[in-house]
Amino acid sequence: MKMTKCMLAATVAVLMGSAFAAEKLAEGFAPLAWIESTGEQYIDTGVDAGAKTTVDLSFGHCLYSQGATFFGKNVWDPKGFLFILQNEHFRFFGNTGREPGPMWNLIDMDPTEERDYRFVLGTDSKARLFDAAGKELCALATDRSSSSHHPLWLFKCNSQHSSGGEFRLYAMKIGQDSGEILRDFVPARRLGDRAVGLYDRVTRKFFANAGGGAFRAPDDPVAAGPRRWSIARAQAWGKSNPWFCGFNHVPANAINDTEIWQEETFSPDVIKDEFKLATGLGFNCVRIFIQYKVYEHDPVWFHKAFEKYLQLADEAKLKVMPTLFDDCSFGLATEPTLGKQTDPLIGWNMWGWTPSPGYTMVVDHRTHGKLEKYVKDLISTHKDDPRIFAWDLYNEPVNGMGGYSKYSLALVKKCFVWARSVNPSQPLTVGRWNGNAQLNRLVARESDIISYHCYSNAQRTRAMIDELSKLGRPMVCTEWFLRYGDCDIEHCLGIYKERGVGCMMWGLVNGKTQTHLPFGYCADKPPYTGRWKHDLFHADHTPYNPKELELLRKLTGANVPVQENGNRVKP
Amino acid sequence: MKNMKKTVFVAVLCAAAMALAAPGARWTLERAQAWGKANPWYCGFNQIPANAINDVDIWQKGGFSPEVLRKEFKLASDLGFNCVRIFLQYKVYEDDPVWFLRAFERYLQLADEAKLKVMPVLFDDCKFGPATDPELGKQTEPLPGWGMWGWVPSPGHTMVADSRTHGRLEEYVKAVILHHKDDPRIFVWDLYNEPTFAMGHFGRHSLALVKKCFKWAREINPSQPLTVCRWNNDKGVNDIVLNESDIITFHCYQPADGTRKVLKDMVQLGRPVICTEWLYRPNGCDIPNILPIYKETGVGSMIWGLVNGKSQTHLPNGVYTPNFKGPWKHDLYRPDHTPYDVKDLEIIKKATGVK
Repeated sequence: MKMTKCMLAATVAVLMGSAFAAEKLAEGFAPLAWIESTGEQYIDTGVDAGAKTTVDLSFGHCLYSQGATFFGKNVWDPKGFLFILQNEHFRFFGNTGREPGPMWNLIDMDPTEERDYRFVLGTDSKARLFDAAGKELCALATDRSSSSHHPLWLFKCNSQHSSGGEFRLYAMKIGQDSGEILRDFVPARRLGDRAVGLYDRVTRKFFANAGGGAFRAPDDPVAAGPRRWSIARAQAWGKSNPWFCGFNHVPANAINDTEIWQEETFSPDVIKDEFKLATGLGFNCVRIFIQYKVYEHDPVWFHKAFEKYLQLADEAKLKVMPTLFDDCSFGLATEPTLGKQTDPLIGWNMWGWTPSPGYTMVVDHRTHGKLEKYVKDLISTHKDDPRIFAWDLYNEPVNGMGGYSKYSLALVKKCFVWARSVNPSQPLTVGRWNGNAQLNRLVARESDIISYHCYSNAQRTRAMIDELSKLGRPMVCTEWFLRYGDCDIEHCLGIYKERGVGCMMWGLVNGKTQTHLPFGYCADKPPYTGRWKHDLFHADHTPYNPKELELLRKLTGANVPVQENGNRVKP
Repeated sequence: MKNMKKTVFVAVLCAAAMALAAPGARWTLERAQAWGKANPWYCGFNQIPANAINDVDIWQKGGFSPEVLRKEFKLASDLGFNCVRIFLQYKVYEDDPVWFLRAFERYLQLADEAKLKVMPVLFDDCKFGPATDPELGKQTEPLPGWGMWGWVPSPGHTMVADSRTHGRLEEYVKAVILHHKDDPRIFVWDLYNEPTFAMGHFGRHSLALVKKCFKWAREINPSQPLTVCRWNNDKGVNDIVLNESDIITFHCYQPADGTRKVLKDMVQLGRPVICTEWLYRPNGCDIPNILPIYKETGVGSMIWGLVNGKSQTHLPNGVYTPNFKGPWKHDLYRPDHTPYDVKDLEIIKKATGVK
């Protein structure tokens, strides 16, 4: 079948793109993992588009909504056609004499998945776009008969920002329907003048910028390194792991994550007792926030404490999801401090909670070398640790950052870059938690498994699962449980179980963070007497609501007797 | 020992504060106008010494710099300025009240030698970066391109919102004012700069604290007038400050039309008026266009910035603009004390009448 050969070519193109390091180019050239373009470029491929031509493009994922434009045919030829590949849309323009011409087709590309594309410029006056699996995405009637111009392939990045335009090209092949490869472009650097461009392995020619912009190959070591897990790899991970059902852990004697971790207040006994409660409920995982400032102050101590935490969790058969950074602030504190922390301000939900590493470091890029060290040190120390099932790099980015949000977004990107360079065995994730489109695109594209927060009722819980399932990756709701919103065990836990979506509720033992209080509750409001927002147990470990715990145990299987060998007997 | 001394000192002050006669009340119009007549046209500046990135560094041990102050005061008096507005940092007082009051006394001495009356600002909500609370010790370095990077509020947003801490704030306000309640070197007490700035929906805590400040200050009943500025159109703030202040102060970074309008509204209240913050060259709120308005109307004028320094106040506040090419926002002198614009200085000297 014709497509098979093309698919093979496409697959080869993809593989070539990722195995660039093994490629040998002519002397004087070094391969690059990928390039981006800014401004306008011209690559004259020298290919006569008279015969049926295929173009295989291997792309990396896009982190920003920037576009790249590929022109088939001379752009000034009024009978030409135009492909515009933008972040979420693919547009085919047929030009019937007016520049730029009417739009013929608009397809919403999946913005979350790396896609390779193939254009097929047929002799039947049609131009077609396929994805790498061979699925035809759209077709366009063209008039190619009137011109014998060489196709002029134009790279144009629509970015206005020098720091944007992350539309990466990994490889581009131009071939014939017969399978003959006419051009085989890989990103490369000409060593003499360090020019960046496309090297054609067929003609052994180098194509650098010939327009008003530039090709860029950021000097990022991770560019050469691993990319986000493929869907297949992520799904394999999902199949080899159980249904995750657990909780977010703030030990009851800690008002914030400084108190969780600093030497003065780190409390293995409290943690052990709380883990016992968790096991009794049938939980199998725990999410824990790490305070950068404690690490910064004494990394040796921090590693010790973290190792102890992992040990205790392991003994309780709880897999751990560490959260490395956090933007949340529920009062006015924007920076964590060490030493004695504030006392709870009675009636103020999460009074005393501080972000990690704190807003000033997030904004002040000069400090990011230190943050990089922390991320890489922590992850590489535990990169093959089976007690950790996933790395949550950054909790609720931009929450509370207001006008400084873009700094959080920039730091999220860096976190992925740093973590990828370590290439741990565990999946990386940053959770989607609100409607910020830019953030959601970013985390959907970079995360190996999808994590998200959902403090809504059953209907919305289902809707979010439906929506995020489209991404095709294992999912964990890393924060839920808001009793007064009917986001509770009775209404929602069954949905997570039924759909096989992991879930981690907020709060085990009610403590210094006063998380039984509603969001935004402050000390000048009257004493709160409503249903607890979060948390399952009073400070003295008696259940807030024994019936809901019965239901919880039923769903996790904790009710099921445990055999002597540790296995649960199926009912 | 130091703590003991501190405790005793503060206890004595508090006892003195508590032992006073009945608290004062807001000055009547007559008393305020008499004060206005007995005082000159105030023309001066807000000071951040060039080597200080914020008011922690103005006052803390290792930051307080009498020599820098002396030199900057000389520039000021050469221009004919007769007053200076200076921000106090609660955190420095909290750490060591004895040190703080000594530094403050030294500041007043130096200002007096340069014939500058002083308007101290006790609290401040402003922040131009992410940080909401002051810390002692080594301050951040300027982030080049970010105006007012490193500036911190006083006492900081967390204390403002946490009323359990207000006993300590009361102690501070009363100690500082009591210590100088008849000090002729101080001409006005500015209790709280720009309340609710960047407080978001916690603004109500600032308003509550402003009211407390007036109450505490009245209980000391100093000889100098009390004021808190009008700085925006927020009715919540203005209902308090325009009804509690003995003399009216306001901030105005508008060009001529906007300035005249606000000025008119303030003057109509019938009390002496001082604009305690202006000068924003990029939008026409500059010396040639605006200083004459204040001179001609007799409304006091205190521009922002004398010597450009670590606070980078020539740049837009609170945003990262490394390639900024516009005119200087604030400030009259470069860090080396050469003038930014000689014409500005000539206009000032003409207005102040300095020889």
